[in-house]
Amino acid sequence: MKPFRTFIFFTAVLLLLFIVALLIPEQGVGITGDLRLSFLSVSGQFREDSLISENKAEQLMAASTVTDDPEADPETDLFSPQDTFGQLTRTAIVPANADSLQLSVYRLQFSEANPVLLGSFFKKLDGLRKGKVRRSRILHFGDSQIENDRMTALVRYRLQQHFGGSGTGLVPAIPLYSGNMAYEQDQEGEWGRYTFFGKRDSTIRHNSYGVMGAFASVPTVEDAGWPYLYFRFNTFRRTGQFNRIRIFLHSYVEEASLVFQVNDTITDTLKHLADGFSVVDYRHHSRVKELKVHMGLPEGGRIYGISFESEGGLQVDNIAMRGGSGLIFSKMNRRQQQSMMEALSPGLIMLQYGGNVVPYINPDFYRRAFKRELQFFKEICPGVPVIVIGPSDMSIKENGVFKTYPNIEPIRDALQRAALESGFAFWDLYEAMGGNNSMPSFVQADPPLASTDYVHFTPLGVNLVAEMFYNALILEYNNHSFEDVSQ
Amino acid sequence: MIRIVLDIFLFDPEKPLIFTRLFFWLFYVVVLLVYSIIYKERAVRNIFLFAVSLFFYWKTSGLFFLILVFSTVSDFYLGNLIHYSRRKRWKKFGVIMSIFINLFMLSYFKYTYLFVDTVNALFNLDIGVVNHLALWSNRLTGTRFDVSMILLPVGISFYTFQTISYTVDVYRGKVDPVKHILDFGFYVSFFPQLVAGPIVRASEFIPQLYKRYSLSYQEFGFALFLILKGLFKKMVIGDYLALNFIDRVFANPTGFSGFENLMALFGYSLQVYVDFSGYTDIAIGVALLLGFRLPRNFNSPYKATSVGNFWKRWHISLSSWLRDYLYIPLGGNRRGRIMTDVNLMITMLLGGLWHGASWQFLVWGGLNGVGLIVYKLWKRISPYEKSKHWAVRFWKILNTFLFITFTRIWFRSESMEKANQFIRQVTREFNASIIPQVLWSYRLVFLIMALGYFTHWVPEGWKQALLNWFIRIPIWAKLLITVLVIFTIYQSWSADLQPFIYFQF
Repeated sequence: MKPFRTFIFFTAVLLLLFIVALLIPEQGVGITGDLRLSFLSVSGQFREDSLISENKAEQLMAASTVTDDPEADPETDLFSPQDTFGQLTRTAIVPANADSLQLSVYRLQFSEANPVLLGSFFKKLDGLRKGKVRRSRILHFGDSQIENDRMTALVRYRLQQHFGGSGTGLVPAIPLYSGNMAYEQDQEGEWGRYTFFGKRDSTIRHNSYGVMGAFASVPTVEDAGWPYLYFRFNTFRRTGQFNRIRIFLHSYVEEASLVFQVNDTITDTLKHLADGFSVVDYRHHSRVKELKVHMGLPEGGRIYGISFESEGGLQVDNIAMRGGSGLIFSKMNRRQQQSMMEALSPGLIMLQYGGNVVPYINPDFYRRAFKRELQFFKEICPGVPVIVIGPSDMSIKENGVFKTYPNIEPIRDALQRAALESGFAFWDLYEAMGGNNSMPSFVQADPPLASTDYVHFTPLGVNLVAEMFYNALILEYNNHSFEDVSQ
Repeated sequence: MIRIVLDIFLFDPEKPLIFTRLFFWLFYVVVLLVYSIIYKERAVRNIFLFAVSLFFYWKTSGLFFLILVFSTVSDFYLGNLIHYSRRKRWKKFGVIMSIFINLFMLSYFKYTYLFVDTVNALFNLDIGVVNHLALWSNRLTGTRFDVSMILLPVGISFYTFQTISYTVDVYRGKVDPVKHILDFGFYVSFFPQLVAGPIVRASEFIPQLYKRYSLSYQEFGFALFLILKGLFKKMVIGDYLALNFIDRVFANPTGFSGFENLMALFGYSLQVYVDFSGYTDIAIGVALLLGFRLPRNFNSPYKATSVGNFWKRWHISLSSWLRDYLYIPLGGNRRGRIMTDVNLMITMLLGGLWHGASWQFLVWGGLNGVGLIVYKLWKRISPYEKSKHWAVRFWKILNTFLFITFTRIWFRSESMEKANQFIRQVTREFNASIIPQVLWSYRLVFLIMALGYFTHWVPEGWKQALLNWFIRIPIWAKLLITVLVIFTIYQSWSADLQPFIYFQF
């Protein structure tokens, strides 16, 4: 067969495909319900370039030194100690690459009515540095974008380097997913785990789930011994070092007990725990490598969370709610949450939601509903500032091309309005990562910064955006201190 | 208009010239048109295909094509030196220089980061990588290459091995040197196999340079079948599974249950096969339509009955290269049992490193080496080794497949930490209760995975019957089937993303 015939054959294939492309409309041909046949749009071939966004991910990575693990990052930081604030300007903040770093400072937005919203929190931070304040806390709530300590880990590590503190902060007794680098967890007995977010178990009649929106249920006391929770800590990590353990629990009877076994030695037995909600506070002054907490609670007792923290300094808690949209807080038991919040005493709350409602919800409904949740936080944590972090960019695939969900910007706007109208702050993650059509550049980056679901960041990608948030927060801290000096 | 012309001729790293892009097939049609005019003039044909191949590499790798040219020039003249020198010393010098230059280039571009990271980790240093080649070019010619990073030129692992095989074969007297440098350039850079193989031996390919073009109607049908099969395997099975399931799990193993991790591993075992074999199917088909025969590179590898048998079916051109240019020169099986095992292990470890510059690939290669050695011992004592019973064969195939799939944990994981996370999830967080939910929610993914494995494991006779049927049908039917297959591939390529699903609460 001569090459010319091969040429004719391939030309004929291309010609036929061209005719098919002309015949099939750009939006495709519906066959049944979900099934739709589509083909190359001839005009689309010439439009393709306009859909490809600038490669934002590469620019952002070039300005950053983050790695997969915040504790392994080279030290570059926007933080400026207060004593030097006489010379402080934005451009004086300076690690290695000052010019490009400015690119990554995407600033927090404040309500006009409350531009110094974070003042109370920054004063606590100053107090921590100067030894005038013993401890403070940030509660970082979010959806699956932050699970496994993602996003929080970098913010925690950087802040604790400057303001002190160590430990994981609040963690669930029975984790939803493993992989926390600070510890390995195991348990004895058939523990239950119940969440208020996602699929709710209809056998749970109450709505006391604690501030984490989830609790672990203590199993039946076996003849052989009490059920226990076991933790083995990675004491080389900052998050694996702590000297205070707080257990937030609910018992149905008085006379409940807990036994603490540290590094194979029983160190304390707490008896006569009160009926209802209580916080068990245990201190251990040498390094804890292994911990067993034996639960002398009757079946059905609830563990709302355990906090491994340092005696002083800043704690940053990662509270991830897979599939959540941030609309559950006001629906859970107010009194119980309030008690737990009082025990935690946060200096700042961060709410990072929006991604899960992007495909489905009416933005105006979401704005109103989210505002109600913010009002709820105002009531149970009066005076505590809240930063709302919006959704990241997310892509859908249309005719093989990845595009930003049409609903992202309206949802972002809804969260932004809800936050600012409530007098709180907003950080626009979507714009910070490059805005419209930035997600494909995160997925296609080498190494990848986001997963091929075009929704979730990889550990490297999440640390990149976490650093951007940290930079935004610390820039406000630097500027606030500077403005505040004469007051 | 100017933009379109620039798009065609300028290098754009975002738009490489690869088989799965429309632009490649437009390029191929233009090549066929010119080829149909000049194919009878052997010298002109070879020069044309060399020029076209360089253009292909330029569009794929930009200025790295200069490295390809350097490799071509140096190995051509070293080949001549080896052949025409009368003194053995010069012949030896020529072959050593060729091996050194090729391996140095490969090491510089591929292994610098692994080397520097290892030194840093061992001695607690913080040495950075400097691209001295870029630095030298910047100083000498005023270019502005980034000196802080070393990028890997596409296909360098393939063409360096190809040129080493040439000079070694000339040294061993197996082939005569190529007479004209343009012919040699054509052999090194022939575009269908340039970036992902098969690795073509000089002795197989060079004689074809001097033959007239020939292509029977049957061969045309065979080539077209390979191209369509390759595109289908790569785009409908491989790309769909990777995008909608596998990549997500391996990017974040701890976010998924052990069952999902395990399914992703089985999916990956299929994906890596359909991707790679699909690409070489297309390469073989594209080359054949131009009248050049490339060697078979895969032979249903998951039908292998042992690890040794697997390596005779998987990436055949690489495993035979490693056998002929590494294992046998090391001594092969000629120096006793222990040295045979040592040689096998060295070959597999280096073969692992060839696939990628990281410790995971070394582990992967090492595990394959262990598999080969253990099987050698086992077959001496196994009472079933010579049995032809179907159950024995099934058991052997199953074990080999599971072992090879197990080794893929390290082949696919981006780091040792991710590999450990994967193992931890499978062993400690299996979460069997969500299996029905996972299977149902990802039903299309699992259906495609099942289709992929089914088509792999069906008897060879069925596949041959389909191929024969395709070869026999008239050309208009081939035309319609080609259009239909491409239309189907497009449906898969443009399908909606499988949404992220939460199974664990």
